Amino acid sequence: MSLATDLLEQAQHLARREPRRPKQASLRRSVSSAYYALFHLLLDEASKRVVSDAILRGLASRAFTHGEMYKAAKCFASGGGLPSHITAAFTGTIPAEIKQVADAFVSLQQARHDADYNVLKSFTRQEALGHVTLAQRAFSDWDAVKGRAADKTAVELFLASLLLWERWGKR
Amino acid sequence: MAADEFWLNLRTSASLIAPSVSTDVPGQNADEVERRLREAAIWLTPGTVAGYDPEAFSFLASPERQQLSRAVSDFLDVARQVPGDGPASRPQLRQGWEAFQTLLRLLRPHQFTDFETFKIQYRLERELAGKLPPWVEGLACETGVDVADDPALWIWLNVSQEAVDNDLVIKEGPRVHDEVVRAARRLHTGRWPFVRFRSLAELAAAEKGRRG
Repeated sequence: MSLATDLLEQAQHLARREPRRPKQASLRRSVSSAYYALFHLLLDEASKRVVSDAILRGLASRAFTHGEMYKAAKCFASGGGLPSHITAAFTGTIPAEIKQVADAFVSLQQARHDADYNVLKSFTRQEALGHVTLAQRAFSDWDAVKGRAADKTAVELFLASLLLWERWGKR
Repeated sequence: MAADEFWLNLRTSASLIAPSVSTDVPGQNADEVERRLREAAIWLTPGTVAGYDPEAFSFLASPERQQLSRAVSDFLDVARQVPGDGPASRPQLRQGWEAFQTLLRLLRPHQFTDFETFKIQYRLERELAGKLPPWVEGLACETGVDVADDPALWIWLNVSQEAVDNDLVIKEGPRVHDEVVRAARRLHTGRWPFVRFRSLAELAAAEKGRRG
């Protein structure tokens, strides 16, 4: 099992940990874990494409930042078209699965932020389950699209954007 | 913006009557409401509807738009008759309350802190009419900024006990999520939609637990 799938399983477990009265701590950690599951899935996939060596890959993955990934994912999820500096190099279409993964990433990062920092908010099990389910679907979507030959470039573009979004925007 | 001013005035007056203006609260009968109104007739002034601009409500369905304009007009007619140095008469209170109730029913100012949020929710409810499963009992919009400081819209979907008991959020949640996101995007609000599920019963229990 990878770190990403372990985190997803943990998110599921925590959302149901207390059958009757869920603890806020469990629900918050569930939401946070759902985000980190997807975060590490994408980090792993992107890093593998940058370096083949497993040790160096760990170093490469540290170059990703939550904020930059969020901005890139928002653009892919919005369906409103990619910026011109990207369409100059990529003329294909973004598959629905990538849009859904990107949308889940944005939604989950915001939820993670609330879960970790907003102590005024109360979480419910249904909210936590909604986030976990969204993360699960993102995993399925990713599985479906990552090996599809026709979408290879779109997949690589998405992963590279998670790392290079702001630097590309400055050119 | 006139609509914001109107909203603030209406909301302020609504809050003068009761912290959460509602006439369907159990135990709150008509006599009790009337007694409260007599004690707090400060709401019956032209200022309550100051800033009203019919154009700002052009997004309302035609019958509601007409009801709103008439209610504002009726309210003003009565409010202008109330002497500045004395209490409103019983008939004035009754007529004013009738018009005011219509305003509260149509605009729900106690639910929305600002005009924009009301407008978004109203439009979203219409956009989603007949498209959500029965286990989604209602929705509530909130506006704010997201982690990137971009304008954001939170859409809370209130789910039924049936949904809780049968794991419907897990089974059907993603499809409902997508439907709501698509509807929100069609509105072009300039806000990123975040769809969240919640059970109001669970939320009440969590809030109670938090307060200890």
